[in-house]
Amino acid sequence: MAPILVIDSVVAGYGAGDILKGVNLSVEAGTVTCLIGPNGSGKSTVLKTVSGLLRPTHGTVTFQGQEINRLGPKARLLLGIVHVPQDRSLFPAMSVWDNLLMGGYLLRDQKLLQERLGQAVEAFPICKTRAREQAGSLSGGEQKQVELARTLVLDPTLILLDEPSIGLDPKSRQVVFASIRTLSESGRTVLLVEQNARSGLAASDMGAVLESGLVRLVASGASLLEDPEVARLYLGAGSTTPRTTTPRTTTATS
Amino acid sequence: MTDLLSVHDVTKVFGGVRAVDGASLSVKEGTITALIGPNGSGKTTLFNIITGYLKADAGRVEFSGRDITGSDPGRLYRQGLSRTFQQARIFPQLTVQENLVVAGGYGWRKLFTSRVGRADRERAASLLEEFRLDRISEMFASELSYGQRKLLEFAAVLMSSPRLVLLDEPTAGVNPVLIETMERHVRERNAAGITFLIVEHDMTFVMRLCDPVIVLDAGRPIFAGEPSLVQNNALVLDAYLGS
Repeated sequence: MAPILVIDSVVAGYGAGDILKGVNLSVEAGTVTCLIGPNGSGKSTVLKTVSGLLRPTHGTVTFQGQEINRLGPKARLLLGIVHVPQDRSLFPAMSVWDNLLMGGYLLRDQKLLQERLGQAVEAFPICKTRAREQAGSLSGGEQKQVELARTLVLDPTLILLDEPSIGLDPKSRQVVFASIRTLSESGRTVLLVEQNARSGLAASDMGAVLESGLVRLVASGASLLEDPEVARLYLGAGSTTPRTTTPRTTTATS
Repeated sequence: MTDLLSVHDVTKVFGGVRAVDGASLSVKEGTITALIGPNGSGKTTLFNIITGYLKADAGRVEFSGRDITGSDPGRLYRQGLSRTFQQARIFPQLTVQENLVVAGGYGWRKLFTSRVGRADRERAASLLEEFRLDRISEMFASELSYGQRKLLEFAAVLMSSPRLVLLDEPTAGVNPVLIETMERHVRERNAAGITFLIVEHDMTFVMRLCDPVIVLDAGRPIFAGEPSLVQNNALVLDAYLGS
């Protein structure tokens, strides 16, 4: 099967210099792919070239066999590409339900909108149970769920997630990574960026390592997790069980 | 050990929400203390009250034996109380390097001269290298990615010599390898006498580095003690860690 997304020799940046220096990456339909790599390696920039927030200066982005380089963000949205940015993106003073409706802003067909809202609520029941509450009063993990539900209103084919677990407490992280599997099981393709690399890879089918604006390595999420060289360079020693003894002797608790 | 920081019965209400609800806690001098808790439990609000960015509705804050309730952030900074933010606050129109010069306590006029001391220059250079910011040291800070901003802000705190540092989610968005570098710096500065209070969700980081750990839930502490005891506490498991 042909990949749903092909990023071919993409060069892009913000003026001062190129952040991406010829990125190549293919994503198969229905899979979850996790991009990992050092800070400043260009992970968020890759997502922006796919959603159209940034135009490459060289190379092509192909989605479902169609080259989309010249399309703006709105046109790409209508093709089924949604981008959930790094920071919290709900309107905090609006209710949860109104935030969900904003996801359907581009939909003119009321019947279709109702149908999609139903699907979003089914996948993320919180949109119904907390519908009337102000979005800003929800916890970080709950807000992320509403953000993911909001993307479903557009019935996306490809979902781009920029650090979905950032700033979330451990319980909420579990919820978010489970939600990513929910999106995938509904047949959607997910490309995510995650500094919480171990959890990100564990929730993904494929992993890609980005360094200095180039994709250095692509492999299954599981095999990247087991690769000692990848662990040393990108994952850190965080896998070791937390120390249960007091690390220092200078402290005492009364 | 004496309390360097103590918070007494602090309350802060936003609309109908009691973000901080009669919280009392203390940070002993020389410790690396963690403040953990679910999203929305009041950690950042408490940080904002301690560092003078918010006024408490009730309660008192003491730093080094002095009542600092309601003091402004600038004054507290000069008294040795320094902090970082969840959304890193750096000077976007200064270069990466200039941000460190300013953090080293030099006035803005010094930015245009060569009068930055040699020790500070070397310290800045080594911090930039360790946090992989050396190759972009001439870039405006506004051009940095989220993670790089967090690293720059952390490096900036290490340029000064405060007595107490409050870190708000220092590892969020930071590559796991550099998290270990951060950890080493906190240990080194702690050994040199600086006390830390750290809000963090990365439990491996907290368990390796911090002692004691204070757990906040619904605006007040529900537990304080050694890290090993936190992991087995039923209240904490239910409120924060999950299964």
